[in-house]
Amino acid sequence: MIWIGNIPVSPGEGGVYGERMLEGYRVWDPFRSKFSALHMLGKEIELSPEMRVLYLGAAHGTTVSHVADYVEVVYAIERAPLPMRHLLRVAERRKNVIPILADAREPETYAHLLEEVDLLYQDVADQAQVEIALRNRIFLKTGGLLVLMLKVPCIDCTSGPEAILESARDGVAKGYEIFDHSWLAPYHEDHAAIMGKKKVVADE
Amino acid sequence: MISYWFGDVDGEHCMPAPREKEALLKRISSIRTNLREYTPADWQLASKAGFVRDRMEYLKWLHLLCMEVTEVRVRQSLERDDGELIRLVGLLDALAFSINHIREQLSRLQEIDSPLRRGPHTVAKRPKEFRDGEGAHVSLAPIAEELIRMERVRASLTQQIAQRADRVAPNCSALLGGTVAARLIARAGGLEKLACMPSSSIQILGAEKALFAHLRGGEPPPKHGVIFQHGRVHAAPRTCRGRVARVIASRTAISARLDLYRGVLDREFIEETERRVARAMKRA
Repeated sequence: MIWIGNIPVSPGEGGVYGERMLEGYRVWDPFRSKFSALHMLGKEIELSPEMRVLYLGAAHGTTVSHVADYVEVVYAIERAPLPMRHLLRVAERRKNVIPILADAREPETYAHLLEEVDLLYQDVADQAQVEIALRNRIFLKTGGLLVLMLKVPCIDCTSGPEAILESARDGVAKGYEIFDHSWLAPYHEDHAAIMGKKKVVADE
Repeated sequence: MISYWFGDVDGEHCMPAPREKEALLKRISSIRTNLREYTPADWQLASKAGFVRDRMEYLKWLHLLCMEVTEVRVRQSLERDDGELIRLVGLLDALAFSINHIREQLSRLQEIDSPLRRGPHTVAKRPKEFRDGEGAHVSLAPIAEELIRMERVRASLTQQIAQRADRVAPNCSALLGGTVAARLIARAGGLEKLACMPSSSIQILGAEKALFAHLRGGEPPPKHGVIFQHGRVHAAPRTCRGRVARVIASRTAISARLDLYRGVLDREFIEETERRVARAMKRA
């Protein structure tokens, strides 16, 4: 991750969503992007030029565009047609963004387009967020990285957030070795990041 | 064997797909993978099979194809979207409202101007007669011409709404006609909401005022709301209008569900409805 002072930035052509530019770099606002917030909180996830990324829940493509500035290719999955329209404009300018209109809960509908990836980044508003992370594990190379941005209110809004995070971590642990987690406050309320490595599971 | 976008792979062997855009687009929109025996694609297989020269070309093709497929899918799903349809109906209503108001004011002006030539349509039909110096104190001709243009726009908008409704809800449209179907969907607040409604609610959608007058006291219950605009209800003799409205409402409830979950026209269903409506009329 490139920093200018204490501001995270990415190298690339600006004007994607009205982001500010700083010394020729695109400012990566932690209040808009959870990935940037994670870095601001001291959890560095290294992005390198040869990396392949599977991005679930690409939405309008703001974070996608920053990630794409760093890596070789981003497979961007989004299921809603309206944000996809915007994402398509992003992918028009960034040839390493592969836009796919599909539901992350159904990997069988887009598996034929994907290759093995180094990073699985997930930011979906769905009750089955944990299940989605496990189903898409198939695309991750062994030892590959999972960054799961857990939207707590989507899972359950009655039990406490700590309990939800705990049970989500237990769920994700079925397929990943979790090495860290973090709440994203003050940048994003009620969101937590779970970071893990794909582990080998016996019955595969 | 596993099918990828660039070809079918069996072990180490790759059978490349024809490198032709249209065929590839069709191919990638049709494949569904069985994840039990799946491993992610290896781009080098595509290059060994001669499908692409290098990694750059691999990504270039994939990007191009995904862009096109996604573009088409987005367009299709927005066309099937009922949100736009609802907004179009709102626009039509606003347009009709304006037209009526302008027409009313115009004809009043005309009455003052030349009391002998009465009738609401005169100004709009013959704008030329209202040019400067031909008796009018104020030139009404430009407004009258504008009114005629607005009416033309209204006609074409109505047509477009009917066409759009045909795609959003083919069964409802076949049953009720596109415009009435669009109005029902707009009233209900979406196709999904319409499909969740009992037919008794659908029957009186648009007659809310009459319904509450009935519930609050004394008034007779409404027989029909928006579906009164459907030709068969409208044309039915008074004695069996309620019955016809009921039959059509109950069939509409089913067809809304067909539209939501299946999305294709069911001719048999429409024909059966015709028969039922005819029977309801006969029993009068």
